[in-house]
Amino acid sequence: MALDTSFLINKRYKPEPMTPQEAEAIQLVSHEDYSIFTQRLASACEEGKEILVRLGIAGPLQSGDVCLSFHTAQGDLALAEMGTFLHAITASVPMKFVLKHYKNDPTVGLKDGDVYFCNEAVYGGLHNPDQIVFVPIFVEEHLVGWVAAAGHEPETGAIEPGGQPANARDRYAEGLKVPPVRIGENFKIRRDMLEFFENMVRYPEMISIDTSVKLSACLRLRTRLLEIVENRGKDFVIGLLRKIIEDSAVAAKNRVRQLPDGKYRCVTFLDTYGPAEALIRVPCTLVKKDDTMVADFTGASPQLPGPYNAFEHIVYAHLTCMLFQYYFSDQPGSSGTLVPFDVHCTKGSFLHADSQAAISSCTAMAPLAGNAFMLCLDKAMYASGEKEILANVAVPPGASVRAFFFGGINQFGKEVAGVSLRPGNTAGIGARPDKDGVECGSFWWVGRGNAVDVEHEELLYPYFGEYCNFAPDNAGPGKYRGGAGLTYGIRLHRTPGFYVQTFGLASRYPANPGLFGGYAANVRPGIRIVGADWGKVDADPDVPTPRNEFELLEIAKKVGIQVQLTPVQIPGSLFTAGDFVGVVGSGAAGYGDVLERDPEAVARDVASGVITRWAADKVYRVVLREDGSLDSQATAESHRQERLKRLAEAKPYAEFIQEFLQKKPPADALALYGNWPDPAAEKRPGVAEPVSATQA
Amino acid sequence: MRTAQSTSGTTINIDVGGTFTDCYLTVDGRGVWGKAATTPDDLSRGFLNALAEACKPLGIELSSLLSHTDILRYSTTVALNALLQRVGPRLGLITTRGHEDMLFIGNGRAWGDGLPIAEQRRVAQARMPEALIKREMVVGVRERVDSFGEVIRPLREGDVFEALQYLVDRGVQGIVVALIWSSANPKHERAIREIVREEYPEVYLGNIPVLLSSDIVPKWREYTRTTTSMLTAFLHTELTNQLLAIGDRLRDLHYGRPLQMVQNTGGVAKLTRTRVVDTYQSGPVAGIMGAAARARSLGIENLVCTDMGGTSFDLGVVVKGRPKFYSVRPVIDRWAVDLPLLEVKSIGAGGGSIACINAAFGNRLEVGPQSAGSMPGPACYGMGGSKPTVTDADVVLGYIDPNNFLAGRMKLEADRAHDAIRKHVAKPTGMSVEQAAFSIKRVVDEKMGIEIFKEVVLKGHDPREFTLFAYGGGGPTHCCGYAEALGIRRILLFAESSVFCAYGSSTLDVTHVYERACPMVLYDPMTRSYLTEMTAFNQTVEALEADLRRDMVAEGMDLSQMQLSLELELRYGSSPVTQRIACKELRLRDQESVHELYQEFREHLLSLSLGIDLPEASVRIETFVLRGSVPGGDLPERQTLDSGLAPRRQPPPSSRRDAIWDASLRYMSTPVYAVGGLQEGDAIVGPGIGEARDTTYVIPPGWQLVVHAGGVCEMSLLAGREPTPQPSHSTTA
Amino acid sequence: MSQRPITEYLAIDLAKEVWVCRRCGRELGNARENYKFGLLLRERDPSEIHSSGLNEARFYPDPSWCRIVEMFCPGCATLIEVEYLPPGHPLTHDIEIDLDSLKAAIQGKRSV
Repeated sequence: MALDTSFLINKRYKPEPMTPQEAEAIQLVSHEDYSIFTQRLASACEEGKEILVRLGIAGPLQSGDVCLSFHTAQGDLALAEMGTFLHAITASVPMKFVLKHYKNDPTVGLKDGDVYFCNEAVYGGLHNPDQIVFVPIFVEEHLVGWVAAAGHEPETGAIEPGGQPANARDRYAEGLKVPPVRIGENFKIRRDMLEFFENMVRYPEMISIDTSVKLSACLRLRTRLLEIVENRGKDFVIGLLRKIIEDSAVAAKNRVRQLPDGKYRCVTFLDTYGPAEALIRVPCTLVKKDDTMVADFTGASPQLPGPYNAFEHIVYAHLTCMLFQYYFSDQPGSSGTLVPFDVHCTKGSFLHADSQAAISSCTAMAPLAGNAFMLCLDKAMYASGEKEILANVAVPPGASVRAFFFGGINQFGKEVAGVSLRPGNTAGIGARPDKDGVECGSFWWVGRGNAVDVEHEELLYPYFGEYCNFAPDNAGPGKYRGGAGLTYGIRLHRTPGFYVQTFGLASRYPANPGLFGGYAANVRPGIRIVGADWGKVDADPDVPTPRNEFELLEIAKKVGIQVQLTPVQIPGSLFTAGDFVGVVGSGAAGYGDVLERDPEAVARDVASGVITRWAADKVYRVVLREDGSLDSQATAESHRQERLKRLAEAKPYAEFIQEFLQKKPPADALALYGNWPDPAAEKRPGVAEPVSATQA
Repeated sequence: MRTAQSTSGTTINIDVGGTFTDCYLTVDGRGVWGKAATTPDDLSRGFLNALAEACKPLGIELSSLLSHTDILRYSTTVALNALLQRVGPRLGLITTRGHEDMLFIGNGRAWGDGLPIAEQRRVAQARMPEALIKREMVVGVRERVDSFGEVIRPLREGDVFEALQYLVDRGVQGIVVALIWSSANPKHERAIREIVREEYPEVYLGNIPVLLSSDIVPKWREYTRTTTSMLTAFLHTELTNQLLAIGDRLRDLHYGRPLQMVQNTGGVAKLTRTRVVDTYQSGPVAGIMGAAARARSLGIENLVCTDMGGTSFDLGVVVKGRPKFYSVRPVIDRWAVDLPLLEVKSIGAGGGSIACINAAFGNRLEVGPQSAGSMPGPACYGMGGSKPTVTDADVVLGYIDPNNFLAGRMKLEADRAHDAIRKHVAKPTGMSVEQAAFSIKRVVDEKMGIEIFKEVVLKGHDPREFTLFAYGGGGPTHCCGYAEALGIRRILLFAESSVFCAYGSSTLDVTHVYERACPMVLYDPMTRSYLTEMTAFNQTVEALEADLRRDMVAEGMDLSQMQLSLELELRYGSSPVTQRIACKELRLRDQESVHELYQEFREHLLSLSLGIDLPEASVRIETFVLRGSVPGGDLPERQTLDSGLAPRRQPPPSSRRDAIWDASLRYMSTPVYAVGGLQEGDAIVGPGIGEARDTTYVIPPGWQLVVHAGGVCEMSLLAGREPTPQPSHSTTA
Repeated sequence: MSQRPITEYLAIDLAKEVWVCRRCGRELGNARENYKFGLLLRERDPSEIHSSGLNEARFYPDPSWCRIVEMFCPGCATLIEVEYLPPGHPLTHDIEIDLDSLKAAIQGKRSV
C-alpha cells in the first residue's frame, strides 16, 4: 500500500477530538433547536433511504441493507439511518483518508461537487460488496461536513458470482476493490468511471444504476443540510453535528456504568474457512470497567487460507450490530454512541488478518464474534438488575446465516448474478428471559431489513421454491426456545445452466450457543439432487412433495433418489434445469433449562411443526398422547426421573474436568486451529488446571 | 338508468370514527352538520344522534328527512376494531404444498410491520401479532404454477378433499385459497373452489365465502396477496353485521335505498360491491377527496391536506387537483397488504401527543409518538391523564379556552395542564412552565412540518409552492405553526373543518378500480427495442373495462357518464419495486404512443432521482390499473378568493384573553373572535384567536386571516415575515 | 436483601460472598471463584439433543468435533449452564464479577 492506512490501527472510526470551532458552535444549539434539527437530519436520512429502496436494482437495497449518514467536517459519523448497523463505522475512515492524503494533493484535491466511491476494507470499508458513495459538503470555501450512502451489491467480479467466493485464497480472487476514489465532479458521476465498474462485474446494469442512485441519495441529504445552513448559518450546523456525537457519548457512558464491573466470557467455534471444513476458535472476553467496555478476542485461531478472515474494524462493526439492536436499541446511530466501547483482536489471527488476506466472507463469519460478544454482554446486562436493561436481554439471533449465491442465464435469456435473500434474511430471533424467540424474525446485520417473496425470486431468477417453511428442530431448545430459521429447497428451472453456491456455516459445529442452560441452535447441511432423479417424484402424483428437508430425505429413501448432503459452505458448481439445491436458514439458541418449559408450549410446537415429536420426548421429556395432546401426569413423572438421572450421571467439577481434558478432536479438524487448545498460549496448560484457558 | 347524482337534492354522509361520529347533510344544496360520540356497542345510536343534531337547524323530522334522502354515504374505521380484538370467523388457508408457513414467514421480520420505528429497533421485545389464521388451520396441496403461469405440477384433487376434511373437522368457518403464482394462472385456485362447492354446498359452510387470492389481489407477491385475502375473509362478517344493523334502523325510519360505502380508492360503491378492505381508512381518504374537490372549485392545483384530530395527525397530498398517490407499502394493523389505497400518512402527533424529556440524551425535549389517546386523554381532560400533552400546552399558552372546548362539550382543567407540564418538562430542564409549553408547541409543530415536508418531496414536489388545507379539531389551532416549519405561506380553513371527512364523502363519485397483472416488456436496452405487441396491452385494458361496465350496470349507473383512467405499474431493470404512472390514453395506437409511454416513465424516474439520469435498463409493465367513475358527488360551487385588494374590515373582537405568542413568553391580552359571526371581507391581523364551532383558530403575529364567502378562511403570512423557525435563547448550560 | 441475582439460576449472597442457587437456595461456593466449581457436570453426545432421531451426518453436531457439557445444581438438578466445546477444550470461566466494586456500587445506591 503506497499510502499510509494506519487509521484503522488507530481506530479512527471513533470521533476525533473536538475542534475549537466545534466546541464554540455547540453553544449555539438550544434544547429546542437540538430536538427540532436532529428530527430534520433523521428524516433526511429516511428520505435518502427511500430513494435507494425505490430506485435501487440490487435485492439487498430493497431489503434495507443500506445506510445513509451525516458526518462532521472531520468525517465523524454524527447521525445515520442504519439499515445496516455495520456501516456505523465504514464511511468515516475513507473520508479521513481523503482528507489526509488527497485534499492537499494537487493531482486530486477536494472541492465542492466531488463524488467519492469506496468498497475496500483495507481503507476502512467492509467486504467489497458493500459499496459506499460519499460527498463533501462545502459552504462557500468551508468544508462543513460529509454525507454518505452505502449499500450491498451482490456481485463484484470475483472468481465466483455473488460477491462472496468460497474459493478465494487471497484478496486478488475477490474482484473489484476500490480504495477511496473520486468518481465524479460537479455532482455528476463520470461516464468513464461507470464504464470501468461495468467492465469489472458480471451484472453491469446493477453496479452502474445503484451507484448513480446512491449519489442521488447523497445529494438529497446534502440539500437538506444546506437548507439548515441557510436558516441558521453554517456554525449552527457544525455545532449540531458535533452535539449529537457528544450527547450520544454521554448517554452511552451512563448506560455502561450501570453494568457490574468484571470479566464475562464466551467461546464459540467456526467449522469452515470457505474451501473446506476446519475447526476455528472464536473466544471473546468482555472486560467492563466503570464506563468502558472492551471486547477482547485474544486466543482466536490464526489467519486462514480462505475468505473467512476479517480485519479488527470489521469485527468491531459486527459487534455494533448487537449493540444497536439490543443494548443501545434506543440510541441514535452515531459514532458517539460507540465511544465507551472498544475491541481488541490479535494481529495475525483470522479476526485481524494481513492486508493480503481474502476477507469477502467476513460478514458470514464475524456474526459468530458478534454472538459471542452478545452472550458476554447478556450476562453483564442480566447481572445489572436494571429494569430497562433487562428488557433488552436476549439470546442473539441466528448467526449461521445460510443462502445461495448464483450467476448464469435466467429464464429471459439474460445474464444475472446475485444472492437469494430469502433464507439469509430470515434467521430466528433468540429466546428471551420471559418469552420464546421469533421464527424468521431477524436479518442479523440489518435492523429494519426484510427478505423477499418466493414469487419475487422466481420472477427474477431461473428456479422455483419446492418448499419454503419453518425448519423443524433447527432452533435451540430451552425453557424458552430460540426462533427457527426457514428451510428452503429450490429446483432449477428454465435455464441452460446456472452456477449455484450454497453458502454459510455450521454444518458440523453449532454456531449459536444458548444462555443460562439453553441449548444451541442446530447444524444443517447443504442439500443437492442432480440429474433427472427428481423426475421420479413428479412422475408419480401419489408421491407427496416434501414440505421440509426431513420429508425430502424420507421421500428420497422411498423413491430411491440420490441425495448429496454436503457442508453448506462448498464451492459452487453448474446446475441445469431439474436439479435441486437446498439450504436451511439459521435458527437461534434457547434460554434456560428445558425441564422448566411449559409442557403445553411443547405440545403446541409439535403441532405447528417447529419441533419434532422426538425432541418433545428426548429433549423436553414431555409425554404426548397419540393425538398429540399433553399427558400432564406422565410428563411430571418423566421430568422427575430426568432430574434423578441428571444427579446420578453428573460428576463434581474436578473429577469431570480430569477426564474431559484428556480428549482431543481429530487432527484433521485442527489443521488450521493453531496451538491447541488456546492458540494464544505459549504452551498447553496443565491438564488438571481447573480454571479455563480462555481467561484473559 | 340513473346517474349517481342525487335527484332529491338530499344526501346524508356519515363518518364513524373511534371517538366521534360525524354527519354532514346536504339539503337542496345547503350543507349542515352534526357530531356525536361514537357508540361502539351499537353504532346506529351514535349515527342517529349525529344525524339528529345535524337536523336541528333545519327543523325537520329525522324520518321525513330520511324518506326523501336518496344517497347515504358511509365511511368507517370501526371494522378494524374487530381486528384489534381479533374477533372473527375461524379461517382456514389452502396453499401450495411446501409453502404452509408462507403467511408466518412473510417478508422476514413480519413482526415489525405496522410498528413505529423505535419499536422495530427493539429486537429483544419482538413478537409476532396474534395470527388471524392459526398455523394448524393451514393445509398444503400438491400443485405448482411457475412465474410464466405454466402448470409445472398439476393439482392433485385427492389432496384437496383431504384438506377440506381436515379443515371441516376443525370447525373451519371460512376458507382462503392462496397458491403460489395464482396471479399468473388462477386455474388451480378456481378448481379448488369448485371442489369446495361440490363437496360442501352452502348449507355446510354457511354463507361464509371461499376466497381466492387471485380474485382479491390478481398480482404477484404471494405474501401480501394472501394477507389481503385473509383480512377480507376475517372482517367480512363483522362489517356486514355492523351495517345490517344500521340498515335495519334506517329502514324503520323509512330510508329505502342501499348504503353507499366510501372506499379508500376515493369513491363510493354499493355495499354489495365493496370488499371490506376497501373501507380501511375510508374516512381520511374521503377528507382528502373533499379537499381536492374544494381546491378545484377554488382554482387551486397543488395542496397538502392535514387532519389534526385529538390523537392523530393524517396528511395527504394533492397534485394538479387530484389525489393520485397510492401507499407504497400499505399495512393494515400488523399485516403488509397489497391494495390500491390512496395514501394517507398518519403520524404520531396530535392534541394527545405526550411531551417528555429524554434525560439520557442531552435533556432533549420529545413530543410523541406516545399519545394519551382519548382515554385518559390530556391531563387537562381530568380523566386520569397525568402526562403533559400538546393540548395541555395549548391551554397553558392561552390558545384553548378551557370552558369552551369542543363547543363547551367538555370542560378542561387548566391547573392539571400546568401541573403536568411543570412536573414532567419544566422541572427537569429548569424551564418555566410557559417556556416549556411554548417549546412543546414548537417541537410538535416542527415535527408535523417535517413529516409533511418529507411526504411531499418524496413525491418529487416542493411543498413551499403548495397551499395547506387544515381541518380536524386541532388543525386550525396548529396550522400556522407547522405551515411555517415547512415554509408554506398560505392556509385555507373551512367551516366544515370538524366534520371534514363526512363532508368529503358528500363530494364522492361512484367509483370502481380494477387491477390485472399482465407482464410485458416496454423497453429492452439489450436490443434497444420497444413494445411492439400492442394487442395484448389493449386487450387487457378492454377486459378491465368490461369488468367495470358490469359493476356500474349492477349499480344502475349511466355508462355514458362513466369516466375511465388507466395507470400502469412498471418495473425498472431487475428492481422488484413497481413504479406507478398514469397513461394519457386508454389504448396504444402506434409506436408513437409506446415511445410516449416510455418517455413518461423516464421522466417519472428523473423526478424520483432528483435529476440524476439513471442508466438504461429494461422496463417491464407488470400491472394494469383501470379506474372508472360516474359523477355523483355534490360539487362545491366555483369560488374565487378575491385578490386581496378589496376593502377589508377589522371586525370587533367578542372578547379578549391572555395568550403567549413569542419567545419573550409574556402573556399578551389577545382579541378573541366568534368565527361564526365573521362576515365576508373581514380581516384579522394576528395575534388573534377565533372561536369556531368545535375548534379554535389560532392566528399568530405576522399572520392575517381573511374571511371569504361560504365560511372559507384564508390565513397568510404577511409580507416581510420569512417562514423560518425563530431562534430561541439557548437553554443549554 | 443481600442476595443479588446474577443469572436466571444463580445469585450471589453479598454478605457471605457465596454463589446461591435461585431455585433451591443451595450455596454453591466462593463467589470470588468460578461458580462452575460448585456444580455437577455431565457430558452429552450432541446426537442425544440434536439428531431428531435421524442418523444423518450434518443433521446434528459431529460428536468428534463437538461435545455438550451440562452443569447442574447439586441440590435441585436444575440445568444452570450448558457449554458446547470441542472434546478436551477447557470450560469457560464465563462470569467473573468484581465483587468489591459491585458492593461499592450497591452501597453508593443505598446512600443516595
